[in-house]
Amino acid sequence: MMPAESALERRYRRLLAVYPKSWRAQNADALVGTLLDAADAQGRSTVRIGEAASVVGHGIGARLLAMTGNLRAIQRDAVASSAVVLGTVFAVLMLMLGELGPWVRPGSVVWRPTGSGFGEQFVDLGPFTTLHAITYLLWVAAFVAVTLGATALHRFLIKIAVAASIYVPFYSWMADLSAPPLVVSAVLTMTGALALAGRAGRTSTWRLTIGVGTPVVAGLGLAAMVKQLPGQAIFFYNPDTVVALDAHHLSWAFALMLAASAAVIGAHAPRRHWPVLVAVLLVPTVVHLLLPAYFVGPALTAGTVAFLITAPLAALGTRAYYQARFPSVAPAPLTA
Amino acid sequence: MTKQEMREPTFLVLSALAGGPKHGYALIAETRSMSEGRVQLKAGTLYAALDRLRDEGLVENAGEDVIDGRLRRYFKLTDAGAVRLEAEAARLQANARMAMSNLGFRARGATT
Repeated sequence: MMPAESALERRYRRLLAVYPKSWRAQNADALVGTLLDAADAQGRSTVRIGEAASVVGHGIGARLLAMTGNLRAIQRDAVASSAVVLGTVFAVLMLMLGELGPWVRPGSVVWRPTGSGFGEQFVDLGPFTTLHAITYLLWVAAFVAVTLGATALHRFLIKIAVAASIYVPFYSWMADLSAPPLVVSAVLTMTGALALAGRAGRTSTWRLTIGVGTPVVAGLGLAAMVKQLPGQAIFFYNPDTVVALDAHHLSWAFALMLAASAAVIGAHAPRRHWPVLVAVLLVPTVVHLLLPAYFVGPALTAGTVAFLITAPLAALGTRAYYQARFPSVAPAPLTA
Repeated sequence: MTKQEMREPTFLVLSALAGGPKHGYALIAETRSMSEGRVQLKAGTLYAALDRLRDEGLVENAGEDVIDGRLRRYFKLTDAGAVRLEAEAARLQANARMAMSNLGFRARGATT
């Protein structure tokens, strides 16, 4: 083997470290062979950036897949499609309430925020309040792309949105610009990763679900918060706000829903009853975060008691279901 | 039952395998040739697609060779893959026939 080829092979094998060990054991040699064949055909002895990005990107995907116990393709597509709905709804709420909301004040185009860390200033970003509007608009564009069946464009826009949700908070901090709570970016990053887990909108049914479900849920969300639009939206990003529903409450509610759903879907089947138990127990907390002004006192207590009874029943039902499906695998005990 | 529409790279990979078992780079070269340069699969993308197609039962491994110290793994189309490819080809053909027919109506309308 020529020395240059050996050096190239070593570089390729270093790139493959991003794949999980089990995948490398089965496929590394074959993939390296293909990469070397391609390099020979093009007469080169270096790794191309696009080629490296393709290997690293798919390696990360394979690693995430291994962590979820290797969900089937159809399940990953369902996760990705659901994540598109959730992420777009979240982005639209942030866009309408956090970015454009401050403008919905009769007779005023000056943003007068309030609370700690904010001061009076003119809005420098056109109609938008913070740079995070870029991330929200990317999600809206990705939603349009997947609804129209432009899968490659959709995935590209989601990847840019994920990168933006990581970079924009950092840049805002460096440039001392106003920004929403970090949990907003965390939710969008997590949702973006889930949206890339499979092929969102792969079938016409899923595209219809996304195309209709997203505006309906976003519309309902905005309608539920319509009282906050005129003027009160200036408090939306403020961590010390006292309004009924703000970016913090919404983001934590979405984050808990995402984490609980991911834990239930990603858990190995014989142990799924544990995340189901936790997910059901979290329901009153999520509801309280989403409806803080309307779900208090006796209603909250009643809801909590109901879910304390429902959660073990849901867990027992899940355990029994998977015990029937996987009789050869001993289920995890319900008691320590 | 909802028909799952197939992306062009996937269709081309299955079409290439319909002609017989092929190894990784041969698939990259043939899909590029079949698409007249439009579809240029990278190795990482190809193997992710093959993983998915194997998961769906449309493709399977078909042996390995070691040539000049380099492993070449061959892939082949399964019976289920052939059925799926045929269904997709028929769908595309029906769409193309309809488009050509409508274009013919349009041309005849322009000349009258």
